[in-house]
Amino acid sequence: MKIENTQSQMRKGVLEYCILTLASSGEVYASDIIAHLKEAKLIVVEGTLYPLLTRLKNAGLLKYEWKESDQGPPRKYYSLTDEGTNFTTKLAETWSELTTSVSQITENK
Amino acid sequence: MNKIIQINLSGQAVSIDEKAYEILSKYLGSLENCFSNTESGNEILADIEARITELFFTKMKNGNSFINDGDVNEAIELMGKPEDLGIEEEFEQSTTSHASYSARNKKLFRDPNDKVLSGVCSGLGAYFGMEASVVRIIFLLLIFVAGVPLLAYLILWIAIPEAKTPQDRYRMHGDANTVSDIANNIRNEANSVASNLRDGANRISDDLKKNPNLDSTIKGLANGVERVIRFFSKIFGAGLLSLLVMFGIGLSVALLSNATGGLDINWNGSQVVTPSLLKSPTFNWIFSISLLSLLLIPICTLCYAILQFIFNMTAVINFKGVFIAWLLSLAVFIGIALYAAGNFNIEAFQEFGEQIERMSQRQINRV
Repeated sequence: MKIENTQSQMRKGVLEYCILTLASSGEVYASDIIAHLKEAKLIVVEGTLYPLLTRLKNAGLLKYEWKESDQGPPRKYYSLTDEGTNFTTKLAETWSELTTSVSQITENK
Repeated sequence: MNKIIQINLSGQAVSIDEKAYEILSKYLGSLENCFSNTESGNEILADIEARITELFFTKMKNGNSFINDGDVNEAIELMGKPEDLGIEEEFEQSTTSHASYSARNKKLFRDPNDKVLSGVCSGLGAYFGMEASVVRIIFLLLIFVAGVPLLAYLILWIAIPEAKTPQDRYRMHGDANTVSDIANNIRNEANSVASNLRDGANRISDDLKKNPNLDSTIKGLANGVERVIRFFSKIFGAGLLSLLVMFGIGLSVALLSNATGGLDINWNGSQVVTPSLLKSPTFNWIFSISLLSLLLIPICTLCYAILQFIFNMTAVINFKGVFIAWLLSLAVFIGIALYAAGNFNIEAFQEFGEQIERMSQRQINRV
């Protein structure tokens, strides 16, 4: 069993939750999400995010709007769909349960 | 000297030198290769291309009149090479490695919410992905046919911890409920042993190249060796366990039948009843039972320890209690053996021996 696999699996689930949370603050541009995720050291390269965004969009959790930009091509601004809002709330619950469970395990070791 | 060309990137005109263009088109080509067979691959590609265009625009706004190879490499660094994006991991490994992860993670528990006696059967069912009632029926059938699982059941009852917390319950079921989980477990363990050896060897050669400090190398090697030893000792443990269980069953059958007054043997068509060890039925009974517990206690403890080892259980054995129980049966055994020393059923054994002799004689004559 490789440590990298386990680590990336741990990150993967958390990453989707973080992206949805970031998108819940309204209309966000991909590079804003990236900046936050990079600051939190959740992703290393920007390219990781685009497949995730597309998958979340295809799942009906995210929607986007095109906006003109003076710095190049038009940009996609992402926001949560209604389903996405529900989804994020549920994930938030799971996350707080998880942190409790994990800290319970690791502290009572 | 480099030619500067105009290209169309995400619908925008970008001035780029020829060398930079070559690097960029190679990079976008490699991305296309790995995204083309995934769902909405084109959309992802377009997004990445748009982002790169934007990065180039920022460069040009800052005074560059064209994009050079340095700028392209910087953008590639930022976006990540195909192998950094974890594409295969995302779309292929997610099925296989996830399944193996949960199978490895599965643990044997007794299910307190679904029990007839102790939840052993439902726990085994959860572990092997079978209906608890199916396991129960198999157990009952085996008990009627051979009586064998009775001892196994008792050992399992003691050895398997009860699932108490939600985490326990989750690990009891795991994700992949298939009958082949045990096989998977073994295969995974074997794989991890193999890959550990490979990794260890690679790491050693890497480390030797990088620095002469052998500390981490030795650690890695020790880790690999430990896993190999663990794996093989588990197989050995399983073999030992089945031997011990068979021995224990044989012992129980012999001594219990002695306690209840002999075993009927049908040998070559004639009935023989094995003589009891002691003349007095009461002494005989106490003697057999104390000898049985004297021998079974260490055997069961050993079986329990092996089970713990094989299934990675963490509960601690109460060695003190086991030892006290064993001392008790030892005292009873010594007491009864001394007390009943003159009570041994020597005549009956002599008679039994003669009977056996006669019968074998008869068989030889027949042949």
